[in-house]
Amino acid sequence: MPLSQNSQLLVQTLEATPLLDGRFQNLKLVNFDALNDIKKGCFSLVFSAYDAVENATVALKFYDIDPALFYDPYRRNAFLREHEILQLLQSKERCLQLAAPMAVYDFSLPTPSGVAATFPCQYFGIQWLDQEIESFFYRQQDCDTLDKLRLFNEILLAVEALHRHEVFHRDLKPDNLRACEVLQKRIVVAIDLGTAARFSSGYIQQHYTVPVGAIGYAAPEAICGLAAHRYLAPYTDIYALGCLLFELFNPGLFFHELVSRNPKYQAILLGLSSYVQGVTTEPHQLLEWKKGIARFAAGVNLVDIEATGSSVPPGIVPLLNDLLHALTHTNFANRPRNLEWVRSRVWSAIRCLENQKLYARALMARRERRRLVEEKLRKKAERLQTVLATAKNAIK
Amino acid sequence: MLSNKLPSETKNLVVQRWPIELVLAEDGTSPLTVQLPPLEDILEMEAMKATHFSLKELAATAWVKMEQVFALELVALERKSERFSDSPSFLNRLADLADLAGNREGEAHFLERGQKLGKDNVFDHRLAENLLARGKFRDAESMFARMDLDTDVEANLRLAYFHLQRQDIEASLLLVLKALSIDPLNFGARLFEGALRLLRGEFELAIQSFRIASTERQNSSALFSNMAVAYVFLKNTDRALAALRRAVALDPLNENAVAFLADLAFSEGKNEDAIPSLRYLIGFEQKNPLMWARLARALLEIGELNQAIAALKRQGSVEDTSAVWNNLGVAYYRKKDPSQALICFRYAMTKDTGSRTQDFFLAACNAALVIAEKRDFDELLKFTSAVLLADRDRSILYDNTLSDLYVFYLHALKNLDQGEKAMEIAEELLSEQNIASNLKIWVAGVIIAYYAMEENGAQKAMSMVKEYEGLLPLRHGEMDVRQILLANNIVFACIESGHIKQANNYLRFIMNAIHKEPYPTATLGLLNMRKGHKDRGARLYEEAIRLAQSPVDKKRIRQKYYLELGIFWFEKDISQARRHLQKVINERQGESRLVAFATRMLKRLPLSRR
Repeated sequence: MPLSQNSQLLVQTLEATPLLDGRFQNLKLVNFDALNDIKKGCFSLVFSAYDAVENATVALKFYDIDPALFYDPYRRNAFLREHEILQLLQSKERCLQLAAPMAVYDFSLPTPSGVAATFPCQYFGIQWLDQEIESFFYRQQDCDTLDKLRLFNEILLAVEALHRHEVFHRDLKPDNLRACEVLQKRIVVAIDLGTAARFSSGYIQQHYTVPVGAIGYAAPEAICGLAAHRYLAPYTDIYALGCLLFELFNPGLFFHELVSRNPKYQAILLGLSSYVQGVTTEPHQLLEWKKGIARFAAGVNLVDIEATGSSVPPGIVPLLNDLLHALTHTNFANRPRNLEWVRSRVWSAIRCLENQKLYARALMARRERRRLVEEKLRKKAERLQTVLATAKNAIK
Repeated sequence: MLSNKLPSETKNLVVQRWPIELVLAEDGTSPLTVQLPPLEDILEMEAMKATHFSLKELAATAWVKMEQVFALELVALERKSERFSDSPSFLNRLADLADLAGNREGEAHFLERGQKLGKDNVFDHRLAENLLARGKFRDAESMFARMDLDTDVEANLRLAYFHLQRQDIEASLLLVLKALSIDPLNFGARLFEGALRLLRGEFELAIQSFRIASTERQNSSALFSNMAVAYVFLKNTDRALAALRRAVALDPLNENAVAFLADLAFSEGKNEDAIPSLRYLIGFEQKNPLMWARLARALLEIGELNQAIAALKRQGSVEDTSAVWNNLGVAYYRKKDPSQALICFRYAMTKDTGSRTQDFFLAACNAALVIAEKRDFDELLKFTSAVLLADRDRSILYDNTLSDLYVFYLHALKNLDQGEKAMEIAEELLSEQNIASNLKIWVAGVIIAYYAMEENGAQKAMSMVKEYEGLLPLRHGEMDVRQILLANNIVFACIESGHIKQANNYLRFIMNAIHKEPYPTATLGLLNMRKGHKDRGARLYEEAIRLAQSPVDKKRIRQKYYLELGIFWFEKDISQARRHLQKVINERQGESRLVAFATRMLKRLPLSRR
């Protein structure tokens, strides 16, 4: 989506502002691709800025003043909810931190009549995390399996931290994960809580016809119109975790593999959504969903971790396959609710590989020792033969 | 035996769609041209046309929306090309997104870039698949052929698929076996092997392959459908049904499995098994006329007539064909609404113009049955004559179902006191080579019964018996309805011509029908009467009258019963004889030849004793 004229003016003004709110300098829009004229995300304009007070780089999220979207209550409420959630997560480990609370920037926009119109632009500041983890996904052939598993463990911890505080991200994907160093240790944090929700947060929209997050990582129930269902929200994140696990070890996208294995997947989704269409209350939606699942879930072929081009070491394939099948099961009730169990499986895989590595190293060392001994003996034998030959010649 | 039972309509349902062409009636006086269309049904179908829901169509539309989303994601990911363009996994993901966005050319572009990096053979496979998807089969095949066939299962299977497309089963099997030597448990290879074994007629081996495949993937609906085909060929229909039920449970939207289940359940008389699956599928796929037809057929078979009619109307709103109207006619007929049934059959005939197809004659056959049951023999004669005239190449003469039109034609002639003409035509039909066996049996039965009833026809009847007894099967346990009727007429002819011993010999052919069918029961009654066992004969005749369902049959058997009593008392008690013969004559709408016979007998009674 290109930037509106209003938004462009706001960006120009902000980028030209030397000091915003007495603390933010060097504002620069980061979620817009000028080359292709495309903005990333729908709710806000994200700027990187230097916080002179905290002496750190921060991200400033401005509510977009695009006239076509400015009065959209859904977008407005989602923006406010994101701030509310970030306030709740303040000083919580492995969670994105609020750097500056909600403030209003009065933006004066000149009109054709000559009278300037003032737009109150809401914004807030968040922690700037610059370590992207995308290379684990897009350059996976260069990454070590153990590294990938440890990263996945970190991702699990990040999601677990959110879930612990009853915050459900609902748009987990490689783009929305960042890392930072804390005490020389890599910590993964889930960013962009624009679509996040809590059990207790009110509905911005009762019925969704599309998932709130990226479709390639969306669980079937989210695609089928239950994206707003609070009870199902944690399971949506768990499904996305499964997709991420697959994509760490395979060159392809999880959704592509799923559709290749199930050519009728779209029809199955529509069949499932027919059960929940028109059902308004959450308990009834669940009931109807279960009926649909009883009909359709058995026929869906789950994706295996070992797809074409997979880089999973054979020793941990069964372990990761079980995990992937559980995380991405069509029936949310079959997905693990407890991420600790998932982490324990990941750690089993890590231990398995570490042990394998240790064993391989020990084996190599033993072989090397043996080779050295053999070499020594060979040299000794050669020496003896030389001595013997010399002795024989001397006797002759 | 006085008259042959007419063919029933039970087999005259059409479920498979045949090519339909429209014909205009050629004969202005033909009853085919004067029929009004069944307006109420047509209006109902018109109203339903706009209300059909198709999950398949909706899925296609929804997928277009998804493609747009993925196209945007592709653009977003391409922005990262600067950092990752030298990474195969990144290019693979771009190819995935292009594929999901429906951009096959774009997918090929990314795959070619990936292939140039030369780090793995994933791109070769995907490029070959991409060529397949773009319809470049030759390029795809040569690409698969260049792969390492000693280690690559998928390449072997794809090449096997190309061979199979060229009907080269043997070459295809060799490649599949090679794939299996690489990975003996590969699901795709085992499924393919099973299908090839099926094509080669090795059904047990096919099942073995499918079983191994099922251990690898237990939730494949297609696998269990294939397994059902193998079981059907092995005549193990119970297992076939079980496999199909499983296939449908795994994928309730699998049209192939549901249709197969419906057809098999119909042939096995277990229609209840298929109805829930058909109903469920139709809930999502209302634009499939074949499914509506199958649901209607199943409902018709279990006696849910109103629901069957509703289903047929839904089918009619999807496709307006002769077959639909024929089936609707059958449903109305079973609902005991012959007038509406007749309207539908006639309308079905008007749907079929141009060259006369099987649908036209099938509807005509059903219409003739309804007219015959109305006992409107003038109309029946006019109708069947017109229809038979339309059959210029006399093709229906050789069709076991459609040849019933001749049966109705002869039936009309006989009942319009044109028995001699009927017999002339019947004999002409029998002299034809290779006519439908059903027609031959029926006509032979009619001729034998006719001459047996004629005053001096006994010799002729017995010569016909000698000529056509070969139409009876060797074992009397395997007889169908028409053969029982022929056997019954042979016994009847033997009794009437005084060959009681011979009649006893033929009696074994109808033993299983006695006490179940009216005419064989009456024939045994006649035999007893002629042997002098009046009471036993009378009991059997009375039982036959009870067994007869139509009033016409009841009247005929009763007439014959009184005639036999008249004959029995002829020499013993004149008043009893006169009373019974008079009853034969007084029977309204009775068999004219029996009346004539009774009148002749009555005249032979001495005047003084009258």
